[in-house]
This record gives sequence, structure tokens and C-alpha cells, in this order.
Amino acid sequence: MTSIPIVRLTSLLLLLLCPVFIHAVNIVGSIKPNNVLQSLTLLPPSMTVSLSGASLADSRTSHIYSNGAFKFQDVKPGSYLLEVNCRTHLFPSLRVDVSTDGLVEVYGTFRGNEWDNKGERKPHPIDISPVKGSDFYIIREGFNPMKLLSNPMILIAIVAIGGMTLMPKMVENMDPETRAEFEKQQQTSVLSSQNNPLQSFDMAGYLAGSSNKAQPKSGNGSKRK
Amino acid sequence: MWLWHNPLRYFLLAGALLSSSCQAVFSDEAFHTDFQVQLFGTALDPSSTFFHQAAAGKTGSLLYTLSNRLVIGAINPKDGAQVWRQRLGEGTVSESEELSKSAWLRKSKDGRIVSVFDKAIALWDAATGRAVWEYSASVTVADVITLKAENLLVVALKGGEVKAIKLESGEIAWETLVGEGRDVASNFNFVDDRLFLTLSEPAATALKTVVISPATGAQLETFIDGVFSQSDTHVFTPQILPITAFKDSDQLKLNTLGTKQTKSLGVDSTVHEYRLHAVTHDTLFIEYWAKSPDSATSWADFHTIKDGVVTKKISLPYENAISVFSLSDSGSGIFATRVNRAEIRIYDTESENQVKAFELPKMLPAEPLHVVAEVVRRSDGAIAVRAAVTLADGNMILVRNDQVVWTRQEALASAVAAEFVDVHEVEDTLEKTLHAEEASNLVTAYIKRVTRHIQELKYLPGWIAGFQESILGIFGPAAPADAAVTKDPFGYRKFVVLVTRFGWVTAIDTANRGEVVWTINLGKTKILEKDIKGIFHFGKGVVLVVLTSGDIYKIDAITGRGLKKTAIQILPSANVMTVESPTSDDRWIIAVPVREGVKGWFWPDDKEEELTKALSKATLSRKCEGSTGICGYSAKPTLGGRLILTPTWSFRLPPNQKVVSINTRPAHDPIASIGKVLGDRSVMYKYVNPHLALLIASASSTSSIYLYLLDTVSGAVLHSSVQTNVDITRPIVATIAENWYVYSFYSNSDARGTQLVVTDFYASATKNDPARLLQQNFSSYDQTRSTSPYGISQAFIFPHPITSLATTTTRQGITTRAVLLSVPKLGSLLAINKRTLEPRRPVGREPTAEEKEEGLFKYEPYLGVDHGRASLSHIRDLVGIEKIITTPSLLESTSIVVGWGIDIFGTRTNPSEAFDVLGRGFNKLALIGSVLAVGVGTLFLRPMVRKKQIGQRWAQ
Repeated sequence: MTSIPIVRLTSLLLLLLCPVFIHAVNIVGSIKPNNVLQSLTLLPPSMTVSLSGASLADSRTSHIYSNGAFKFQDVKPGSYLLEVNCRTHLFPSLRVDVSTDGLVEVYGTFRGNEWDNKGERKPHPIDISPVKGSDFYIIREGFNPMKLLSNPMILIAIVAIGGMTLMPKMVENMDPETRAEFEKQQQTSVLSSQNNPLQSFDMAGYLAGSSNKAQPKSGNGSKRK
Repeated sequence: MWLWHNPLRYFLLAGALLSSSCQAVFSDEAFHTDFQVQLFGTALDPSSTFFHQAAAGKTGSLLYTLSNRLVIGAINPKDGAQVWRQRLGEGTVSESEELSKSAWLRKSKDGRIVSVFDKAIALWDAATGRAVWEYSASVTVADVITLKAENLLVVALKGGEVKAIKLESGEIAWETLVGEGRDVASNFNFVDDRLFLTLSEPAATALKTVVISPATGAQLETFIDGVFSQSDTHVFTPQILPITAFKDSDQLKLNTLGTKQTKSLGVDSTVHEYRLHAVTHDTLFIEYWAKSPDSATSWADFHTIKDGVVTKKISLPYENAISVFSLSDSGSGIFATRVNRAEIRIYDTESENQVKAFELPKMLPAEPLHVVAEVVRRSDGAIAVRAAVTLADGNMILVRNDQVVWTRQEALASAVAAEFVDVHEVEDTLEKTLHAEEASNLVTAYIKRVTRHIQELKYLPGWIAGFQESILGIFGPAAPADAAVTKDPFGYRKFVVLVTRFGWVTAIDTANRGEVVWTINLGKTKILEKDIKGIFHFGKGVVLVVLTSGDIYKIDAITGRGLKKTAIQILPSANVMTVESPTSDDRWIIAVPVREGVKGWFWPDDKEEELTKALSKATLSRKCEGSTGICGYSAKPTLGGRLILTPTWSFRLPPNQKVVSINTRPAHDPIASIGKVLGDRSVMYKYVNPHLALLIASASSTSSIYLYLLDTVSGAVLHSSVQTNVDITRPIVATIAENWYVYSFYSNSDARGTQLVVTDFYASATKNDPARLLQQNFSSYDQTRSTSPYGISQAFIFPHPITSLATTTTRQGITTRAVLLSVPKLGSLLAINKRTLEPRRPVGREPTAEEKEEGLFKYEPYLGVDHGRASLSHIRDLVGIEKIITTPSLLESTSIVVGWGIDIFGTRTNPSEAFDVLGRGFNKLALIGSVLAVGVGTLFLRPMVRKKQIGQRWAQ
């Protein structure tokens, strides 16, 4: 029979090829729900996980199966970037290293840093959970009285107006002694009405050119003349 | 330090960065200002389109399909709405490939369907469209079969490997190698619990059939029938039949499995095509049609198979017209459905006379390509039919009895070219009338204006009525934006005219959710991307479709009327462009052949003097012969529509570099400000040049890409740069506008992943130096090396591959640009503001107060786009957006964006926010209310204030 040597040859060939194939490994993992993602059914069915290697031929893409799992078949040795392509949730990127003897090491990775900057090591059947949900929309802000009231400028204005209206009443309610003291204090205060140059400024007199009795003290007035 | 290494922090940071300058979608505008035409593409093959129950025990079935764009999914047959979609394969498919031989969709068990494309097999949940498992084989898949009793999916690979995959888990149950890896497997048949695999030996002297045990994979028997010859090829045979079919040029041969019995049917396969249908193991139905549309014929035969003997039972009438057949069995008997443009006829297996005919109320717009039908005979004997018909124009319709229930515009998924047409340009005649008045002398102008005003008086009553309405409208709810279809003050309404592979031209309306406005046939059955030179907007609502064959179609883009069909002689490799007259409305298209020393063409071939004027200052540029670079020519028109081309410059690439793309600034790209004011009030002058071209070349030997910025008038290289460690097999895309370009590629360097690089060009590296920008006669010809622009670059890492880049355009160019990115892995169209892609962002330090004032913020290498906020398509799932086109609206703030490829997505975007239009949030009632409140308050306070003032006067 001539077919027997052929069978032997092919099996020998297979044995020879074996060391090449054996190191291509399967990488598996799954999406785990967390407080950001309550249920796997919230994920869009079209979402994928991709494993990017040095060339496009080495790269793999897997859908997310109904149980959240994903699988990359026959991954050759090399260093890969694992990314979850999802519109609705943000997932961290991972670095997956496959050594020539088929060992799979999974690390966190920091995009924007050099590739050798690895994060903490993670177990191989990869469990990955979203870090944040996508927020697609801006809610247009309508008129909101509470929001208006919480504005600090508005609060200051309200306190000031309140003070202005309440102060005379408080002064009226004081007992005569303290009231007298308060009024005296006000009189001596720099800002009190008598001493305030702005309040006592005689506009008509100034325009008429006559000197003001309160003016001589201030250098300003004399300069203007 | 740990904080730096928290991935969450990166995301939050990225989100914070983008929220500052992104154009997120307002929740009340989403789904109102944007539209999406969800498409599958044209159904590929009738065996991959079927009605199927989505879940076991559920009544009502969905329509499943696999398209020519490799999209699978489910359609609700009631209204034609999409239930779910998934894309097979990793992107674009070459057009010439015979997809129906490598991709198919089959029913499986328990509400599952199985898809195959090349080496990939996937099992999908038929109701939700979620993958159950995926398997990728080492070589191309030859056939798959679901064994329901064993719960297995058996896969035959081309090389003869057979694998059984457990339906539930996707694990391999058994595998075996048939034929020692030398034979080529073709198809499975499952008859009487025996699994037959038909193979052909490499020498092709015998038809080989192997019986495989479904449970263990053991090879039980091998049959070799010496009838299969070198010229024979396998024909797709339904798996339930106990026969396998193959053919040579004039015979269709049916071999009964496990026997030497072969029946030959005489069919001249150079003239006729045929397709085998079966729904039960004892009835074979063969459909025949003519290969050439000129000699349209169609007929079909019923054969019965009994004890392995095939006998012809009846022949359905031969017709000299195109009709397509479908076979169905829905429990009430086997029926054949025959569809042509006018009617649907139902035949049973007993007679050659139809049992029922439904005449369609209107002829179908095109001939049918194939059909899948369900026929039910009710208890009272009445026959009802539901047929999903794929038409030659690429669309799919569903016919119920004699009514067309819905039409899906699936041809749009096969668009090869698209162009915007401005509807306003046609309607806006007032401007021209005013110009005409200006041009004439005072008296005639006055008379003209008065007569025009008198004529316009007739619009007055209508205007008053409308005015009243708009006043009343203030108090009502805000008018929905959809009402803008008829009244379009902001120029949101544009038509997108698309040419499809099926030889039709279709226009869709961006203001009406992408509804088809008109569609016309070019009289070609197939237009591939290489067959079309382009679609050109020719002014005044006219578009020109120019084919490689030299055919020119002039179409009124508003009404869809074909205005003129003409043909000029164009070399297939010629470059076609439009030229506009600087003084009049005239336009020409010109074709510049790639071969040296050949004259070019122009059309229309009149007004040579005008064209001479238009071309006198221009330089035409195109790819050099053999795509080795760019060559520039000056052109001089001569009589007879020919152009004399004189080479003026050429830019040749080194031999190891290949052209990836040539990008030029958009036709409408105004620069509003020639300088950029910095925080210290000094100015950086932009490098303004309308003749910029960015040539990207790649070299596989060095894994590098080379970027050359050229002046297309003088051919001068203004700037060049190199990126090393580039994976040139992945998409390299670019966009150029104003004084900057952005490009994207996949890098294998330390900063691994997709990179996005932005380069801005300024007239000079020093501030307040306009270089020669302000000179009166600024010419491309007198550029010296020392005056080449000053370029600043910054690169960003982007998390996903980008397959298309574009820039927003606005009317005056005042609004900040946004760079638009098509990210197919997310199924989104993203927009990144140019202020984020600003190469002057401070690196490694916080911005100074001056830089902050300018709007700069700290550079972060990772452009972690917050998918949500940067997404123009928000929650929508876009499939296969390959090209993005933009056009300005009448509002400066707004640019209209349409992405096409498979889906069509359209929206309008305001990169600098809507500063010139009131948004939906504007509350007219609140405005009027507050004005009234202030008025009432004034009236109320007036006497009080007056009283107080008088009191004060008296007190003094």
C-alpha cells in the first residue's frame, strides 16, 4: 500500500509543525457587571473587544457573547494592546503579553506613557469592568429659581437688602442707652453721613465756583481750583 | 504617585478636557436635528435571506438577510424596520470578490442563526443579535451544517478538515481530517441520519463522498464515482437533498449520494444560470434564467426524488421575460412563487398552471434579482403570499399579496460617490434680480424696481396671514425643527446626490430625515468605484455624473430629471475636475490623462476664450504616470474640446515610496482671519495659500510614512515630515483645511496605538511678521526656500482606529473648525474641536496666564475622547461610515455633516456653539412674560416713587 508512507509522512510533518502551533494560545475573558454597568444586556450587541498586535494580521477582534465572554483564538507570541470598543461605556485598556512558551501575562497599561510602563498584573482569564458610563447629552438648562437663589452674588444682594430694611427696625427696638451709644458711634464713624465727603458734596456750589466749608480739609478740592 | 497610575483618572481627565471645548449634542436636539438611514446593503443571495422565527415558540417571524456589504441582521417584515445588525469581517471588502461563495447565513437551532465569512463562523441569537460564540478557522470554510439531534454545528474547511462545534458552548466536540489534506471539500448533505461530505480530489478525476458519523466524527464510508472531470465544478445543493450537484459547460449533473447514479440535465451554462431549491428531501426545484439581460428568459422545473431516482415532474411556463422564483413550505403544501415586475404568481407541485396570481398595482421600479416568499393556504382554500423581493436597483421591497408593504433603500449602502447640492441656489433668485437692477442705469433700474414691487404685492395677503400666524406661534409651543422642510431660512436643507453600484442616481434630503427625493437610472447595470470619475456640482442645482467610460450625465438635482447624456473620450486613468469661470456662471469639466503627451478634454466644448481666461492662471495637477508623484500642467483649450497640456513641474517620489493619498483643501474653505492673536497681543500670521496639497507616501521597507506639503502651482515642497514605525497596512487618513492638516496612522513605536497628528503653518516663526502675506502680488512662483512656512506639530494618542477624517466648513470661516472622525469600532462619528488639536498647547507645564487667555491648555498625549460628549452620532449605532462630507449652511455657526458608506448619517454641528441662532431652549413665553412683568412692575412702582420724591422735596 502506498498510502501508508504518506500517512506517516504527514504525521511526521504534523509533529514537526507542532512546536510552531503549540505556542499560539487562546486568550479568554469576560465583561463583569459592576455599579456602572448593572446588567450585560445594557451593552450594545455590536460591541467588540480588540487585541492589537504589531501587524494587522496578528490582531484579533471578538464580539461580546451573551454571557459577557470574549475569546481570541490562536494568538501568536508578542505584546498586545487589549481594548474594549464600546460606545456606551468606557473600559480600561490592558496590555497582554504572550511569551514564546505560551504564557499569558495581563497588565494594566497607561495610554500616553511608554509601552514598558506596565501597571499591576491581572489574572489571565481576564475580568474587565467599565469605569464610567458615556454621557452623550447636555441637558439644556431652563429657568430654575432655586439655582438662581444659590448664586453667591444673589445671596449677597439678598443679605444686603435684608440688612437695609431690618436695621432701622432693630435700632428702634434697642433700649434707649444702647441706642444712644449706637447713634454716637455712627456719628463718629468715618463713614457717617456728616463726614462722608461724597454725601456732603455740594454739587451746585461746586459748579457755581463757590468754596465749600467742608472742602478745605481735602487736598483734592484745592487742586481742582 | 499612585494617583497618576489610576486609569480612571485618565478617563476623567480626558472627559474634563473635552467637555471644555467639545460640541456635545443637546438632549432636546438629538434625534431631531440628525438622521440616520439604517441600511444592510443589497441581499446577496436568496439562500442567505429567509423568514425565520426569532425564538422557538414565538409566533411571527423576522426576515434575516446577508448583504453585499457583509452586514447580517433581522428586519421586521411588518414595517421594514431594522431589529438588529452585525457586520461580518473587519472592514471593506474588495468589490470584485464573489461574496456569495465565501459568505452565507443559515438557520440553526433554538432561535439561532449561523453566519460564515471566509474563515470566521459565528452563531447569533436571532432575537437580540448577540453573538453566542465565534470560531475562526485556519483556512476558508467550505460548508456548515447544523445537526439538531446532536446539538452540533459541523464545519468543513476547504482543506478537508471537519470540525464539530457544540452549539451551546462553542467548544470542539470532535474533529477529523478527510482526504489527508489533499482534497477540497465542497458541501454537506444530511440524509437519513447520515452526514455526507462531498469533496473533489486534486487531480479531479473522481467525485468523492465521505460519510461521517455525526456523533463521533468517524469516517464510515467513502464513495468514489468516476464521473467528475477536470472541467466540472460544484453547484450549491440544498443540504436536505440526497443528491449532490455539479456541472460542466453544458450539463447539470445530479449524483445520488452513495451511488454511482448520476442524472444529467442539458443546460448551456454560457447562456443560462440556474439555482437549486428544496424544502423537503423528495422535491427538487430548479430555477433557470438567462445570463444576458438582452435575451431575458426564465422558467423552472419540479423534479421528484424517489429511491435515489430523480425524475422531472412538471415544467413551469417558459417566458421571454425576467422572473425569479422561490420555493416555500409553510405546512400547507409546497408552493413556488414567481415574481416579475408586474405580478406575483403562485404554483403548486401538481400542475403547470398557476393556482393564484396577484397583480401589483404598479410596475416595480426595476426588475427583480431574487425573492424569498412565504405562501400560506388558509383553511378556506384562500392563498396568501408574503415575498421579500430584491430588485435590480439594489433595493428591497416586501409584497403582501398584491400590495407593496414597504421599500428599503438598500442601494444607498452601495454608494460609490456622493455630493451636496444646494437647494437655495436655485430658489434664491432675488439676489440676481437686484444685481441686474444695479447694473442698469438709474431710470430703468427705478422702473424695474417699482414694477417688481407692484408684482410682489400679490404676496402681501399671504405675508400678512403668515405674520399673524407667526405672532400666534410665539405663544404656542416652539415649532418642531422638522417643519423646516418647506420653510428653510437657515439653509439646513441640502440634497445629497449619490451614485450607487447598481447604476442609479439617488438624491436624499438632509432636512427630511434622509428621505429619498428622486432616483433615476443611468442605464448601467453595475458601476464600481473604478468606473466612476466623480459626481460634480455644476452650479444652479445641476450635477454631472462622469463615468470612466466617458459618459457624462447632466441631471437636474432638484427634480431628478435627466437633462443631457453625452459622451467624451476619456482615458480610463484620466483625472477629472471642474473649472469655474472667474467672470461668469460658466463651468467646465476637464479631464487630464495620466499618460504623458496626450491631450486632455473639456466639456462643454464651447466658449474656449472664457475657458482660456479661467485656465490662464491655474495649474492643473494630478498623479504622475505610474503613481510616482504629482505632476503639474498648464492647459490651453483648443477647438473641438481638446486641451493642450504643457508640463510645468513634477514631484517624483523615491522608488520605494508609494502614494497613499493626495489631500487638497476643500473647495469652500474661507479663512476669516489671517492671523492668530496671542495672549500678549502680538500676532502669528497664518500661512495662507489656496493651492496646498498634502501628499502622503508610504514605504513598506522602512515602515514609514512621508508627508509632503506641496504648492500645486509651482510644485514647491513647502514642508515635509516622516513618521517611522508605522503599520502601513492599517488606515492612514488625513484632512487639510485653512493653514493646517491633521492625519492619523497606527504606530508601533513606544507610544503604541492610533496616533493623530496636527500641524499648523504660520507665515513666520517670529511674532508680528506677516512675511510676504500682505504684499500686493503674492505669487506662488516667487517663493524662495527661506520663505517656506513655519510648521508646528503635536501628536496625540487616540484610543481607536480612525478610518476617515474631515473638517467642518462654514459660510465665512469665522467659526472654529472641528475635525470629524469616523470610528467604526465604536460605530460613532466623533468631532474634536480644533482648539483641542492645537499644536501650541504647552507641554509639560501649566499654561501661563497669557496662554490661558489665548485658550490654550496643558498638552496631554492621550486624547482620551469621552465617547459621549465628542460624539455627533450620540447613542446611534453607525455601520460602515467610510466618507464624511460637509457643507456650510446659511448660518455662520452651523455646518452640515453627512457620513456615508453603508449607513447614511446626517447632522448639523456648531463647533463654536450656536451663537447666531436661538436654540430650542429659548422660551418665548418666558421672554414675553418677563417683559410684561417689568412693565407691570414699573406701572405699580411709579406712583410710589413719585410720592416718595415729592415727600423728599417737602422734607428738605
